[in-house]
Amino acid sequence: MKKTFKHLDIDVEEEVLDNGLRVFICPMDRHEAMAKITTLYGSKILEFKPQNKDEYMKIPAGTAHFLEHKMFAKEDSEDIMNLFQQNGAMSNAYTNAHVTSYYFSSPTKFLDNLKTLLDLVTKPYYTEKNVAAEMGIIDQEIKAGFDNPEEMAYYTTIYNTFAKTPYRYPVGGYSESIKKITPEILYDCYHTFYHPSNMILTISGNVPKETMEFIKNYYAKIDYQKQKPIQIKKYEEPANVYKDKEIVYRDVTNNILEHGFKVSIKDIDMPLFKIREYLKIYLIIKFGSISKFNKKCFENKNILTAVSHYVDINDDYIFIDFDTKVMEVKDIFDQIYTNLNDKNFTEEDFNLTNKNNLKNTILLSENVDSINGIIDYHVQKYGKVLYDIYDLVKSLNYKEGKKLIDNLDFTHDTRTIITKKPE
Amino acid sequence: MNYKKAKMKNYDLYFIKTKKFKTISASLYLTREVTKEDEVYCAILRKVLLYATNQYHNLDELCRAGMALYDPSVSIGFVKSGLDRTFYLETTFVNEKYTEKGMNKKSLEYALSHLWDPYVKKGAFDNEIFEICKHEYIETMRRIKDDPDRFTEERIWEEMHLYSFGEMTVQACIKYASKLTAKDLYNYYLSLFEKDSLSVFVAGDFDENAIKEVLDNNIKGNFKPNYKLRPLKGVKRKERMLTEKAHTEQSKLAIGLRYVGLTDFERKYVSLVYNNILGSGWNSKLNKTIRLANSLCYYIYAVRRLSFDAAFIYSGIDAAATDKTIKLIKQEIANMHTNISDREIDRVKEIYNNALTEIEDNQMAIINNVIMQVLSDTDSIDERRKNMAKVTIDDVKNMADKVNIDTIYLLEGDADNEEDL
Repeated sequence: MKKTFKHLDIDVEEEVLDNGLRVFICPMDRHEAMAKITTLYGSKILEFKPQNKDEYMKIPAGTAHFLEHKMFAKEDSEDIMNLFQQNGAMSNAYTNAHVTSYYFSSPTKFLDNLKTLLDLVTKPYYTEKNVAAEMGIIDQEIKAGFDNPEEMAYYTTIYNTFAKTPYRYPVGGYSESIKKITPEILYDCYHTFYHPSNMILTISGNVPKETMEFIKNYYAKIDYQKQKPIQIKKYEEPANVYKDKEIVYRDVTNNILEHGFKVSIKDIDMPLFKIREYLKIYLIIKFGSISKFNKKCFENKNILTAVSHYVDINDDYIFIDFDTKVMEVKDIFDQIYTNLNDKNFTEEDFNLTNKNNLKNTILLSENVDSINGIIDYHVQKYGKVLYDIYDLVKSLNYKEGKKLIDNLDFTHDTRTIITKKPE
Repeated sequence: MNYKKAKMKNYDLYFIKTKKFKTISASLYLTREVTKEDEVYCAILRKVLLYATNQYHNLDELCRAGMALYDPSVSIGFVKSGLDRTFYLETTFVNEKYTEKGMNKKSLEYALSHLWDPYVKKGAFDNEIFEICKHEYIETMRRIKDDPDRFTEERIWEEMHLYSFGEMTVQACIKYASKLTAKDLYNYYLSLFEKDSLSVFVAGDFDENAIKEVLDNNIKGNFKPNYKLRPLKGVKRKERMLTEKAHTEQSKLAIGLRYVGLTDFERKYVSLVYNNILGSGWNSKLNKTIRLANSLCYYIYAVRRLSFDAAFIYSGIDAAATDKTIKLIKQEIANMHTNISDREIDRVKEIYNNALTEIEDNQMAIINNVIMQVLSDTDSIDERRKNMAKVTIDDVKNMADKVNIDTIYLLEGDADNEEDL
C-alpha cells in the first residue's frame, strides 16, 4: 500500500508479509540505497518464554548483543561482512536496550546485498567453538567501556536510576555474565525474537522497482511456523530510584557528573509522540543554547563543558540523563534539579524552539539514512509510521506542552560523581 | 560534479549548483603555512568566535538570533595538513524556498558575522569571553589523559615528530595557552586577513548574483593569492617502542608508519589500496588475524594521514597478550610484500568507486570534493576512477617496500585491574 509523508515529498510502499514481517520501501532521488532490518529484541530482555517452552527462561546480561555478533557467522558461506565488503557495501549492526538492527548501504548491487542482509538474519549458526571465540572479542569491548570514565558514569547512573528492569544493565553485559552464554541460549533467543513477525525491514534511497517482489520471493522459500505472542517478563518498577548517589573513583583530571531522572508517564493521557516532543522542547528551552542556565554555566569557570542531556523512553518511565565535567562538584546537581523542576517557560521560547523542530522535520527527507531511521523508530515506538509528522509537529502548542510538563514529576533522581580517589 | 569559478576582489569563489537538496551549504577556507603555535591560537579562536558577535554579545542572544532564522548550522575549526593549516567556517541553512523569502541572505550574513564581525572591545576580544574559552581549552587538554583512546592518539602523534619544528606536545600547548592574552589572540585573528589566502565554496540551488552580493558586502581582507596545500614528505627513522602505564584493564596500542619516497601515483592511489588491505574494514588482514582468528581485540584499524606521508594502526588489546599482538601485526605488515590477492584489490576498488558515486548524495561531500580538487592536487572524480582501475598487485607489493614502522606506542593496562558494577 502506498503512503505519503505529507509536505515532505516522500512516498512509502508499506506491506505486511504473510509471515508477519513489516516492510517499508521509500524510493528517493539518490545514488545510495540503504536497507535496515530490526528485531524488537534488545538488551533489556533477560527473561521470557521461548517459543517451544512453557517456562520462563533467564538469560545472562549481554545476550542480545552477543547474538548480534554471532549472526555474522554462517555455516555454509563465508563471513557475511566479507560478502558485503566484496560488493562494495558499507554494513554494520548495533544493539541497544530495545532493539537489534542490521543494515547496509551501497549505490550498486542492491538486491545482492539485500539477499545477504536477509541471509544474515535468517540463517543462524552457533557452535561451542564460534561462541567461545567471540567471548574474547566482546570481553575486550566491555573492558574498553569500563575503562572510559564517561561510559562508567553512564553505566552507574542508569543502574542506580532503575531498580528492577534489566534496562539498567550495560547493553554488552559484563565480563562475567557473557561467559555463561551458550549456543543453546542463543538458539532459544533467536527462534523467539528473530521471527519475521517480530521484525521491521526498512529500505530507502535508489531502490529497484522489483524490491518488494524480491523480498516476498525470498521469504516464500522459508517455512515459518505461526508464532505465539512473545511473553516477556514484566517488572514492577517502583517510582523511586534504586540509589540516589554514588561516587566512583577513577584516575580522572576533572570530575564527571551524571544526573539521572526517572519520570513516570504511567498516568499521562497523551500519545507517546507528543510526550516525547514536548519534553524535548522543554529540555532545549531549559538547558539548551538559548537558556539562562546554559549562559550561567558558560560564565561559570568551574563548569568545563555545557550540561548536555539525553532522553530515552522505557515502558512507563522516561529516563533523562544530564552530564557535565567540572573542577569542583559544588552545587551543580542542585542547580540541574532546580532548573528542571522550575517548569516556567514562555510561549515565545516554545514557538522559537518548535520552529526549529519543524525545520528538522522538513530536512528528514535530505538523507537516505535519516528517513530510514525515522520510519524504523516510529514503528518501534509507536507501532506505525506517523506520515502526518509535519502536521503533528506544527500542531504542538504552548498550552498543551505546559500542561504536560506541569504534570510530570521530576523529583526522582540519582547523582553519580566520577572523581579521583582522595590521597 | 561540475563547479564554476568566479574571481572576486582578492579571493576565489566556487559555485556548485545542485537541486537535489533543500539546503544551501557554504565553506570558507583560510589557508597558510603552519606554525607551531597555530594549534593553540586556532583552538581558542574558534571558541571565541562561536560564542559572541559584535551584534550579539552572549551565547544565548546569538543562538536565539540563529533560531529565528531556522537555525543555520555554523561550525568553525582548523586542520593541520602537511606544511599548511586551514582555518575554516562552514554553514548549512534551509533554502528559503522551504521557509520564508529573504532567509538565504539573512542566514549567510548570520554565519559570516561570526568571522567578520566579532565582539571586540578596545582592540582585543572581550576579555571575559576570552578567559572562559582559554580556561575551557586548557582543561580540555589536561583531560586528554582521561580517555585512553584519545591519549594514545596524542602520544603517538607527539612521538612521531612529524613536523620539522617539532609538534607541540599537550603540555607545551597548555603552557603556551596559559600566557596568551585577548590582545594576542585578536592580533592572530587579524593576521588571518593579511597572511592567509581565502577560498569560498557554495553549493545548492540559489541565485549566484545574490550570493555574490552578500559575500562582497561581508568579506573583508587583503588575502594572499591561492596556493596548493603541500604534503610533508616522509622520512625513514629507526623503529622505536615506547611503553607507558595506565590504570585500565585494557591496553591501547598505536603503531605509526611512515611512507618514504612515494611517487605521486602511489601517494594518491596505491597507498589507499595498501592501507585498506592491511587495516581498513572487516576483511582487512589485521582484522582477520588479530580479531577474528585470535580474539585479541574488539577493534583494530589503520588510518592514512596522507598529507604527512604517514599511517597509524590503532587497537584496544588484551593487556595480557601484548607481545603476541605486536608480533602478529608485524607479520601482517610483512605479508603486504608478498601475500596480496586480486580479490583483496577488487574489494578496495569496488568500495572506492561506490564512495565516489555517493559523493553526489551529500551536499557537504560535494563541497569537500571540490575543495580537495582546488586546494590540493586531487584529481577529478573521473580521473580518480580511471587511475584506481590501474592499480595492480605489483604496485601494492612495491609500495610495501616504502612503508616503515616508525614508532610503536603502548599504553599498558593492568590485566588484573577488574572492576564491575
